[in-house]
Amino acid sequence: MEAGCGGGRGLSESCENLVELAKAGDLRAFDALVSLHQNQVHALAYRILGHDEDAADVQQETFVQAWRNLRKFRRESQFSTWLHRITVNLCLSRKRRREISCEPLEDHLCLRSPEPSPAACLERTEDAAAVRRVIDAMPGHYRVLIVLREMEERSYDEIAEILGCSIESVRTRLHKARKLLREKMRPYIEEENAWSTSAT
Amino acid sequence: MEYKCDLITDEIWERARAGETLPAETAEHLDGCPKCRRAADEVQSVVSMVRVTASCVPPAPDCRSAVMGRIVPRRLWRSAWAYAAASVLLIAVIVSGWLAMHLGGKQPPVVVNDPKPEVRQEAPKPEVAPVVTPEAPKPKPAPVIEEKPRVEHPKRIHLVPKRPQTQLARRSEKQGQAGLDTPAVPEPREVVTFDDEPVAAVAVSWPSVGDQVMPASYGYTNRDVSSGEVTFCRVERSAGSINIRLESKAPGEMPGKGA
Repeated sequence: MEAGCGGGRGLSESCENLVELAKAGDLRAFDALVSLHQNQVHALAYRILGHDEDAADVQQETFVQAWRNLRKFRRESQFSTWLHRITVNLCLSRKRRREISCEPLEDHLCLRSPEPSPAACLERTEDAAAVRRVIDAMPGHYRVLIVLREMEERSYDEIAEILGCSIESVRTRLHKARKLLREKMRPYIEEENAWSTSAT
Repeated sequence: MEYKCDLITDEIWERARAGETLPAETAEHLDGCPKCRRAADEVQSVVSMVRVTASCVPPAPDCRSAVMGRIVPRRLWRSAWAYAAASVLLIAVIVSGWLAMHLGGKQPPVVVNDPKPEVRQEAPKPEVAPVVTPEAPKPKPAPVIEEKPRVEHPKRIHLVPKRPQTQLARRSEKQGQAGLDTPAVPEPREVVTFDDEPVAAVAVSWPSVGDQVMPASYGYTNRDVSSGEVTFCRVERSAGSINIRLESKAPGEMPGKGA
């Protein structure tokens, strides 16, 4: 899942070089870093916020903040992890400021599906919309954990780095977040089970 | 037991997310625990739904131009500020240098970063010093003294005794008038005679305003050291006539008897 600088050793080294050049003020190097990470940052922002325009704003703001604070970045973590930490903080602060509607979500749900049939797309859209509504209704720190672990498939170490907490804390909070998600999803699951039972 | 069920739920979640099959021990527990069985089914559904949601992400916009557009102007602003600050500093240095060169010897230059502001307070002291010169108006009375000649007082009175005064000599006023009235402008030299012989000569300067001679009088007292005789002389001018009164007194006599 790790794209950008984390894809491989060679890529990671080149990314480190780009970071050093960017820290020295090289705009071309920073432009290359933006190009490498912008998709990943946008996906994370969208999964947390559930809104395309807000995700685009956060994506842009993330790189601006990264440029302004680039000198503070030390190689204690990967550049992508550092970027995602900025993204998560921006998303949480934005989410706190106002509730974001999840209506536009349905318009984009099947955009990355490889040639889905209309029925499959509809089914996936309904499922995804249900998950989105549940996730949006969850507290911010639980939502971020579900996104990072279940959608972004981040390791516990990475999540701990991004959130700035211990791995044990991540495990504990993720357990509660999963339990909450399962409880909130139960009506949708029961409805789906009933529909599939009657269909058969 | 509840704690173990919670742990099994987490294990089921991780296995379902990774697409792995459950271990035999966990599967055996699920067969005997309807609650965990139900939870396991829910977890499988949720995981699949979350996965679907995760795959549905709109394409990311290319934000490079927007980001670089927000970054580059900031760098330009920073450099512009740096150039402006350097220019101001350079101008300040040039101006201060110019002031030091042109005004350095005359007055203390304006010190921008003067650690001792007292220096600036001491500077006006030389200006305060002239204030102490209210005594300077002393020369002003001088013109007042010089205005006395304007009143045309006699500049000098000079009495020239021709011979020692041994007798009381007096010149009658008529005789004096007859002899002295002739000149319209009196001769500055007035002569006192006794028995047609000049006894004394008086040189006076009469005050005048324009061409008109003003009334005035002069007095003179002379004491002969050898004989002790005292001579009083008074010359008066009024209304175009000049009167000279000369009186000599021996030692011990009172004045005012002779004329």
